[in-house]
Amino acid sequence: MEIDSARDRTDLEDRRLILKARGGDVRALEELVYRYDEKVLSMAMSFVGDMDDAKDIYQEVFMRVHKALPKFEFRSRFSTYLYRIVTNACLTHRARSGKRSFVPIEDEPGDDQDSTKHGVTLLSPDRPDAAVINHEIASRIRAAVNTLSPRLRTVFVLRHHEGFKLREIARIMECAEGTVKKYLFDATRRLRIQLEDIRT
Amino acid sequence: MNKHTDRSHAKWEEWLELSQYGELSDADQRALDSHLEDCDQCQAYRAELDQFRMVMDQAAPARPGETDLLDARANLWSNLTLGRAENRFSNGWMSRFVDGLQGLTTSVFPQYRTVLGGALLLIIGLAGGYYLAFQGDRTLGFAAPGMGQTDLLTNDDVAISNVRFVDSDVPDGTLGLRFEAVRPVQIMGPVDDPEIQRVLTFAVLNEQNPGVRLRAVNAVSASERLHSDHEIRDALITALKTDSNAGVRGEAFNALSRYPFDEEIRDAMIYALMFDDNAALRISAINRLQEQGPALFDENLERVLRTRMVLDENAYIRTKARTVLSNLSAP
Repeated sequence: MEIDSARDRTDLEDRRLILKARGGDVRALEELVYRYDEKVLSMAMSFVGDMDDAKDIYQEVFMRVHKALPKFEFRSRFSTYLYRIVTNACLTHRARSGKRSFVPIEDEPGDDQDSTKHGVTLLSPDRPDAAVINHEIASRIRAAVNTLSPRLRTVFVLRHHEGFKLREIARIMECAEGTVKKYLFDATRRLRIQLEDIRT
Repeated sequence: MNKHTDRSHAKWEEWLELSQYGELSDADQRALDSHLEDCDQCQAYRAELDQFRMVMDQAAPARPGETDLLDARANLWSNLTLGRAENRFSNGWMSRFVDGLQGLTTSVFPQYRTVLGGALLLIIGLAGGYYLAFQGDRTLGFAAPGMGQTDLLTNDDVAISNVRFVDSDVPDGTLGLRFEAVRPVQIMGPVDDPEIQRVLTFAVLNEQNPGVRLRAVNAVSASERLHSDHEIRDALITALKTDSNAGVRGEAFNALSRYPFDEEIRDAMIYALMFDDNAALRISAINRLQEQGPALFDENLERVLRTRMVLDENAYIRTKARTVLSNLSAP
């Protein structure tokens, strides 16, 4: 109940800022952006894993929001609307840029057969080779996440990396909460299969 | 060890995942805990999920730092500023006219859209042809003394271009300017003459040659009688913010320094401090802002100073921003 009323207050404050920003109040626009932009950048980073790309998405999202603000009809919360734009921008950004070449999960070049068979382990940071090996493993995990379909990837990233509740994800994706649960289970199952040889 | 059917375990496995994400209700969580106490299969599955979660957490993307955020914000405001200029253009009368025509053809007579579109184009073409054909009497010629230069320049449809200085060293401050307004026009007059000022303003804002823009700004700057002229002052502000040549921006900055310090000039200085890629100009801007004292200190300036003290590539500006921020924000 308390959470809901806090959310309502945020919603009302957003509404006030949007109306002022529409009237040309730059500071209201600035305040509105600063309420959410850290989360937007974080989401973009979680999706694309590269800070330069994440910053591009940040720009794209807020330019789109700025353009659409005069037509925003308050049918959903501003935050939900914003996160939906972020999610779409992240998914299309990857498709559009096409500059990243992901290493396939199977037949990774230079990967020795034994390590695949017996598994690889994330190393303690004290080890001298930890940075290189952990970076490679992180790249592999990222590649595995990127093999998921856009819907599965969205649910997994938003829930696992960004900590959104399933109910919030359902609002962002405009689908039922049960569907989001199904996507999450499916994503987890697929990733566990792909990454079963990696241990901490 | 309890035996369970696959069907019942599918439910417990789902609950285990939901439990890891804190998505299980209190009652369901208690039921799951109770079940886990005597189910080895579910305990093993939980261990697998824990392992998976640890792997994913350790390989999670890095969180953006404050510097990344400030950098993204600085770019955003820069882009939004440019975007506003585009919006002004897109909201102009031509855009509304085209929108109106589109609305007329698509909503009022949708079935005749193609025919109406063609007819409108024909009418516009005929009107344009008529206008061009009967403009002969109004064509501007070479302006000589007594030939009505003022008339030539007060027409709004005069297209000024290719401005050149022909005589600017006359001791009495008279300027000679050559420019094209359909055909070349040459005028001479004092620097505070409205026509001279109009050409100077045009030159500051539109001339392609940076040398001409620089001389135009210098000419404006050299006059003692321009302080009340907002058109020129606005042109200088625009030049400071947008001119591609650092020399022109620097001269515009110097010229503006002679004007009374008001909110618009202050905003232009803040803009230069935030976005200009010339370090000397950013230093001039921060010095000028500091000179004005705490009266002008507000959130906007604070934000810019904080950004500069972290992001500026110039060590002097970073230090200066920190000093100015602490001086101006001191109670």
